[in-house]
Amino acid sequence: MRSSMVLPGPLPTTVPICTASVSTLLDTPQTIAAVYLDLSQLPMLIMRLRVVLSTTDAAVGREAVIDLYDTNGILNGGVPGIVAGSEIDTTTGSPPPGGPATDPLEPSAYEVDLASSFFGYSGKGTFELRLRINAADGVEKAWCHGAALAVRGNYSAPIVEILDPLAAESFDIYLDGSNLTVSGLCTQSSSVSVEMDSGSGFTPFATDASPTVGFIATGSL
Amino acid sequence: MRSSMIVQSVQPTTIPVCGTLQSTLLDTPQTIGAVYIDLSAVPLQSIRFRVVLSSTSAAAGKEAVVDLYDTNGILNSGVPAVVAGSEIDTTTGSPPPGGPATDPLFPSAYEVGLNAAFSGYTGKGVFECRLRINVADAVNVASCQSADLLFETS
Repeated sequence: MRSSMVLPGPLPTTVPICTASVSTLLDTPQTIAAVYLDLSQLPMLIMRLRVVLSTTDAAVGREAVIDLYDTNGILNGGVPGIVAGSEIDTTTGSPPPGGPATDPLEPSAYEVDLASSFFGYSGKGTFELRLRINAADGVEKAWCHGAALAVRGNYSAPIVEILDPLAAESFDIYLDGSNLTVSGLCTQSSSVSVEMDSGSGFTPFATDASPTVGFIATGSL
Repeated sequence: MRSSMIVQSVQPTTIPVCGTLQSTLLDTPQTIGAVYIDLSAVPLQSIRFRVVLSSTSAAAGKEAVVDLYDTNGILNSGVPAVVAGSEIDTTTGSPPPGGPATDPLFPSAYEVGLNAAFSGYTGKGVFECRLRINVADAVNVASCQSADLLFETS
């Protein structure tokens, strides 16, 4: 038997990297925070670096510049390097989609999409958040007030349980237009497999003992 | 046929605004952390602002004061402003419900509910956490050890 239901899309999972205001006068990258990531535990349907930046001088050349540095080179064959596409500055940076316009002199949100940089990788390693001012003069400062990775789709905490496991051997859940299939008997003690429909262009998920979605599910079969 | 699903109780969504000790001698608000929030993507039934604060003096006027600043004015018709009800100080602030009593001289948790301020809004913007000492004397220091926004569905 096969049943289906439609669920609202999941909330983004946010991985905080920097949660305080930090400044620098220097034009060499200063590591202001770091995070250890196990990429195999992060669904990377969407992977965005979102930062709140400002600078004390809006003149060209005084931009606050930030990047994400792959300390262990897990995206680069073991060679440490800046994550491709992660550099953001207060002159050319873009706000999150639909977000307010940026102002270099005020704390403003900027965002870049890193999905293509992370796609296909599953290693574990440290990522540094590095801040600098574009051209140092010993007076003007670059500020980072916060930074996070926004990852859409988090399947790490179980919230869905099918009460009548014999009622459905196969169970389709539609997420943001992507098709997840939960197969097997869903009982409180047994595991089920969850895989992403490869037709959606995503890599199938590994078997997960606790199929989860980060939102409230309601509906009927 | 009709089947049912159980949804486990949902833990609060915690958005860190400041996660590192920040201090100031100044009585003008200092931005100590900021976060970008898409209000359409967070549950808004219950919103609380929780901070851990301390001051080096318990005397009146030497309070550590923190507020949440709506940089893009998404709660205020585009005009930047302090989020109504977000100001907390070490003299008059209240601990989280059921939490331990506060002591201005030690890192203590304080909390305010911001439901009314956020209710009905769905915009996207930056919120700054700002710290100051009530009356500066160039000696006493206001400190914020952490600040979080807690969003719950009920």
